[in-house]
Amino acid sequence: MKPKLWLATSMALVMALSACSNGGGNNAPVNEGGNSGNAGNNGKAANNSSATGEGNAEAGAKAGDDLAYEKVAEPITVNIGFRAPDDKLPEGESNDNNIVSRYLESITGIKVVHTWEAKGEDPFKQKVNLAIASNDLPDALVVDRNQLRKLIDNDMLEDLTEEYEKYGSQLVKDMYDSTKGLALADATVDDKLYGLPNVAIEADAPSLLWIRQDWLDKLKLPAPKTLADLEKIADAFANQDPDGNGKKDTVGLTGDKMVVYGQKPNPNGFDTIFSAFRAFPKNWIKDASGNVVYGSVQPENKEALTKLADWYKRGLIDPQFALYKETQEPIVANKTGLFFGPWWMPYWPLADSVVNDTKADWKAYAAPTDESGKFVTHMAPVTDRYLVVRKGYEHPEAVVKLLNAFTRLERRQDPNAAEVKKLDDFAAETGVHVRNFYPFDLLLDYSDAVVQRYDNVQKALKGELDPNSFDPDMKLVYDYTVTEKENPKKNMDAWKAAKAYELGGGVLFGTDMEKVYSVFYGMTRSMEMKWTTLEKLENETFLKIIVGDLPVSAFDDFAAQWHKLGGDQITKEVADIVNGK
Amino acid sequence: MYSRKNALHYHAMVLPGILLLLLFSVVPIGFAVIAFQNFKPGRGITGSEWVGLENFHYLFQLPDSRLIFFNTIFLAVLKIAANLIVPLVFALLLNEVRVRFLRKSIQTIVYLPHFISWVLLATIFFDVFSLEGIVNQALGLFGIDPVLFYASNRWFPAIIVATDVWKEFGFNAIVYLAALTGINPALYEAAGIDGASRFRQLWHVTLPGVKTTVILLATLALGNVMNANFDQIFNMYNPLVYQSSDIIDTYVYRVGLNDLQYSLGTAVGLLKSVVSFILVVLSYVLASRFAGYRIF
Repeated sequence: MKPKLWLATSMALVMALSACSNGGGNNAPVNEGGNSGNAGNNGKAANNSSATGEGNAEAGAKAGDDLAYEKVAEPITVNIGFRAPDDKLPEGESNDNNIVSRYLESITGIKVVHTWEAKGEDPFKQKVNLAIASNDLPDALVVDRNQLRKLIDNDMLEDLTEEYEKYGSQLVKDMYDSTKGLALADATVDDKLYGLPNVAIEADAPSLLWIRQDWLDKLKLPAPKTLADLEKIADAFANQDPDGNGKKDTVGLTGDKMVVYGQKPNPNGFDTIFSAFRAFPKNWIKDASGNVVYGSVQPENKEALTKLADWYKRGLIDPQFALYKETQEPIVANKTGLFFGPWWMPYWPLADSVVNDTKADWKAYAAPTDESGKFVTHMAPVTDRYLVVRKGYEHPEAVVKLLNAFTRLERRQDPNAAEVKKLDDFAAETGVHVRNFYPFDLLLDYSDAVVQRYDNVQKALKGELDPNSFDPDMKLVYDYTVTEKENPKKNMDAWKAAKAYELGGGVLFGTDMEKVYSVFYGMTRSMEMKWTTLEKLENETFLKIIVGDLPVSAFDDFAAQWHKLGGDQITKEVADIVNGK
Repeated sequence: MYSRKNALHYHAMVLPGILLLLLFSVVPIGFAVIAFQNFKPGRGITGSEWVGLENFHYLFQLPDSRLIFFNTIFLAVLKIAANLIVPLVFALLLNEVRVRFLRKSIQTIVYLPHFISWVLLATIFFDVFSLEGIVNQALGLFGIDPVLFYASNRWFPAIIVATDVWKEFGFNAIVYLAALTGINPALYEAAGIDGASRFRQLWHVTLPGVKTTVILLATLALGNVMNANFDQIFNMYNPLVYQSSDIIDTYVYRVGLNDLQYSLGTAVGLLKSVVSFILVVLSYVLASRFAGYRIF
């Protein structure tokens, strides 16, 4: 470490220590890194902190957060790879210099520089892969599970164990703790923490059926429950001109060329159809006799594929679903009134659909159900993206501090009310999502947040709870819901939040669903060599069967080949890990 | 022909191109050694484990490799043939247009697509060939059911070749048009006096006049047999038509950069380069023998 930095760090530490002693006995044991040598400087440091008047005294009760949110003594620069959003910023604002970035820089003292930007999921992933391949990582960036493994393997990441302990805010730690240690364990190898994971909310896992209720009503169709209902609706939407313009320009169910997402769904996965047949492709599950098996090669998939291939052939599935560059195209263009997607669909892409056609009235359903009438869904891993720091970067603590700052802002616990109000107004005025301009696309939340908020907001609307007692997150949802009720579709921000919770959250809350958890998410030794080939085989087979390029019987060949090409070996390895051998 | 001093500015004009070539084509050759390694970026070339020909063994076991080599050569050969014939026919026809203004305007308009990037064209063609696109609407007039061109392994290669020709024929025709203007008008006059019809003139004067150019372009194109145009295919294809249009370059891209199998990707690329090199040498030998084309 450079001497100057060392000085700054110890100063910061000492300040926190002193604040700790000033506050008189508190519970946050953050200063494990601070040794007794530093404690000797207490008096002097205390003077310092009161002299600079950074508000340390009043925050004395939270020494840990004091350090976590403290502005760095000297400006620090972090070079990052940035996932650029679709949001259109107003004139004069740019992705790396806008009201959000300026605010975060003003409270943290950390300057974030975008070494590169990529727009959209795939381009960003490719850009990260390129950065790994060329051994040219920015100081910090967000990577996925495979990339994290690759990076750890190649010894390219900074160990964040200490920085997290020392600088992580209480809020961040609480949310990691809400996963019972699972989130952090996911990014830990040999007791070293190599990445700060996101915390996915449980609600993100199920794929619900989203339907244009106005079309459904127009064609006088009942709400769907079973596969047969879904089939009828898809047929009607494709052939009975639900948008009433006299042209055959609508499609039935839309899909994605991935066919299923397997873990955390985005729009257009067929996951729910598969789970209605009790098939769980891309998940490691336990079969009836308790053996660990790979979901994609189980015979149940064949039934689901038969159904989908039949639908595709009869034109009930969008014939062009595999060709779109962006899967949401038919939804945004209001060519479809029927697709699968998680609870947050109103935020995106449904908001765009409604903007393009204000008559669009979307509803969510927990359908189709399995034979016994139960809605079945696979669950998602608790975390799937990781904020990592390049090995050798001098200020890993700056990255933790940024995470603290924007997580506090995102969870509506930022005490700088005036500034937060400005951001809110900006968002309302421009339609820009503030969260999209955080330096890292990494959201943390409590894992049951969505249904909790839905439930409480509904109770408040009925007068059973006092909304003023809500935490800021919940209060915002409540306020938006009220706004939306008073003036429907006037304020799109209100519409997004209100509908996501009311429709998505509501269905999740009100449905007694069977949740199937994957028993394994990582990689084994053989997977490293062979998984890409197996996955490619799987993806292509599923897609080709659905569009009729291959007969359904090709599934059996695929399953046999999968076992032969290394699947058996991998299954054994996974089973050994799961059974703790 | 030229003194050294006179040639200096020519050399200066070539310099930027040479530099780019060095930077992007010559320097990377050295790094192709990772095809013989289990390359890990963090360890670098010096630190990665040497595995000999293992990547090549694996490559030849993969069912995909035969497919991508076949697709590459198939598409490239079709494109080379079409890109020789169509511009030639077009140039001959245009050459017969007597109104100078019309001739020049057409020439300008048809070579414009050459300057549009495939990223844009891919989007445009997607709409043109989509279910509601203009092609399917036209087919509908004749009572033909709409065809999903982009998802069909039967039609997609044809679309690849056709759109490539559409984009490039105007530009490729320039060379022929230049060759055509180079034919001595006295030959036509003499043929006319001898009573040769327009078609006879074409056959006996025009075609022999451009023969060398055609042979030259054809042999030089041989070096491109392994290049089916990454730009175009990457922007136009989708998983449904991998079978008919996945070429070496797109495969290397997906394997190497999407799936992080750097060494395997490099091995495929290296194999392609070796074959291409042989073909380039061959084409040079042929070009110098049949068209008197010499570089050295």
